[in-house]
Amino acid sequence: MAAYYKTVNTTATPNSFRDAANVMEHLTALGLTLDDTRFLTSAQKHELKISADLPAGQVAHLGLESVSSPCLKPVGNKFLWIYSNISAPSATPGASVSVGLSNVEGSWVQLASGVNIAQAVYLIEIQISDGNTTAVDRSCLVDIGVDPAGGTAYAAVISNIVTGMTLAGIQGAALYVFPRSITAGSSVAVRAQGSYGTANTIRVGVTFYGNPSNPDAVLVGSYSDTIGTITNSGGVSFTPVNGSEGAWTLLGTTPRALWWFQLCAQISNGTITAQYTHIDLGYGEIGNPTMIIENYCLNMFSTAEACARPSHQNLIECFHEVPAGTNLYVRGRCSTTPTSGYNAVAIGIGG
Amino acid sequence: MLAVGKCGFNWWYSLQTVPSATPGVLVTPGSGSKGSYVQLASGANLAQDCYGIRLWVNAGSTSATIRDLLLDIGLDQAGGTSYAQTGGINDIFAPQSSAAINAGRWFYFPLFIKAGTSVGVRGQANSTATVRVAAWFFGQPTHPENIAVGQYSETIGVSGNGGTPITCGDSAAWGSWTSIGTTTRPCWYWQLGFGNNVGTTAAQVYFAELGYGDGTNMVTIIPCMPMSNYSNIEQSSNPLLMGYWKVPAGGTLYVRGSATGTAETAEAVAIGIGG
Repeated sequence: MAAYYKTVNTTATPNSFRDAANVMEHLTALGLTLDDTRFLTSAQKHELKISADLPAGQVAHLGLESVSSPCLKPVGNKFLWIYSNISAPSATPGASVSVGLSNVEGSWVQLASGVNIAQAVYLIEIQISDGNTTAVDRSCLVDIGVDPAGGTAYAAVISNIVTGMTLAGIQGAALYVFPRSITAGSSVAVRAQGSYGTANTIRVGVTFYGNPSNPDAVLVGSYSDTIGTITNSGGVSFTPVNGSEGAWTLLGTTPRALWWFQLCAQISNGTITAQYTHIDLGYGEIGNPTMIIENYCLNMFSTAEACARPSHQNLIECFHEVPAGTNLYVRGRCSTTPTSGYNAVAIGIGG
Repeated sequence: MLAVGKCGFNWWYSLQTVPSATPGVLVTPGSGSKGSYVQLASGANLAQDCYGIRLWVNAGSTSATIRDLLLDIGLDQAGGTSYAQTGGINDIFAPQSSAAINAGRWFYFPLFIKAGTSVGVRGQANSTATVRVAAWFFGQPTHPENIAVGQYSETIGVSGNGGTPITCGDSAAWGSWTSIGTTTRPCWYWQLGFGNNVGTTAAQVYFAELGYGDGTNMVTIIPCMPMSNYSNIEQSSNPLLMGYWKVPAGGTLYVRGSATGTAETAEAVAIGIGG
């Protein structure tokens, strides 16, 4: 890790350290003293007054051998290359994808050609919308496929994103983020499988990110695993409870080490009353799992069988290092008596 | 979108623990002035140092009515209710936020808040009509050496109860870059508040972009942030998009926008995190 040096003027000028323990540790190592650990008022809040055991006016250099202090901000990244199939604002973002009927996979629909993927991809952001029909169970699974040769011989690299009954794009698409690598020159496509037996479509928008400004600090995976057995066009069934947390239900076991997770859930039912549900994803022991994602929102409103996923939990809480052979669990809590048909999978990224 | 780094959180706190059609606390803004603070987290709630705050602003719209909104995040490091803006965030622009079910408006700020601090939110708008705000606080990073966290925020572009006016392009064309102001301190992380302040908005989608440069040679910090006006009921939403770019003190920020149809008057405010 990079070394970091903080210059401290010894004239008791407030300095911008925020972690008293870390400052103390390094001051002590250098034979210096910290004489005031109080958090100050007004403009000096968050700051510590530091005076060193040196003559006034001299400067002490605190050399930190590792960037282990929250004072430091060594990591920052901006992707300098982006490709998206949503190039302009639209009420119907992305590509229209015909869903395979009656639990059969549909055909691949290209989202990006090999020419479009001009840079190595570090992050895939996919948004799925316009997947509901009133009074119809439109359970849906989406795969992302890649042909490294840039052709149309796609192989699924992310499988079975459980994402039925998505809202119209203008209301808020279901969003999933996968830090999985794709080599430059690959073509990328999606396909969908649904429970509905009548012709129907969803819309799929995708944005690829590459050329990070600080590539050493980017975490990008080389494989994904979908945890949870697929039955028809759904994942593992679980039962939320009205007013309290439901029981943890085993999704499955990680076949490989994974470090990034997306929670993918739906309600496979053609008649869903208005209900608001929080879903948790955890790993480890069934009686006391470690939480990965807590209170993921799956909200059904009106009687249109449309499912809102204001799911920004899929952006922040996703990093957990889970070894191979670990059990993953889900549970749910509902605002009312839940409709039957809840099911979910977790998709993990590793490598 | 920020790159994924090797760091997660082992601790988080939110008041929003129960599924609800109306998530978050109810905030009554002041009309043309700051309203009273409403607590988002007590000092006891913030049991760990906080490295990031996620906000969900919703239920701040009224059909056929202008609903400006600027939100402040205030802190009391003593854990009480004497909130101050020092170390907090000023004037998060979140007008006409939709009902939660239609996504609402989302923001994330990697701002350090010391454990034991209580956190409140207050609003300023063109009326005292209420809005709901849910917040999540994240701490105990799994790999603190890999996390970026700031110590101050800076708000660029506030005008009255809203932001700097932006003329967007029609029919998916981009409008011109419009300067919204200049930084006084260096910032490295950005959030964009973008919305309309008109009483009648068409159902359409906007793209907004935050840029840094001289108006001609631009770095796009946040590209293509969608902002949806749902139905014809003046309900707006935007997803969470995070922008990383180091802008020095004295840097000028610009915003431009594009609408699917005929663009209505828009406004923008940027918030930078630095330190």
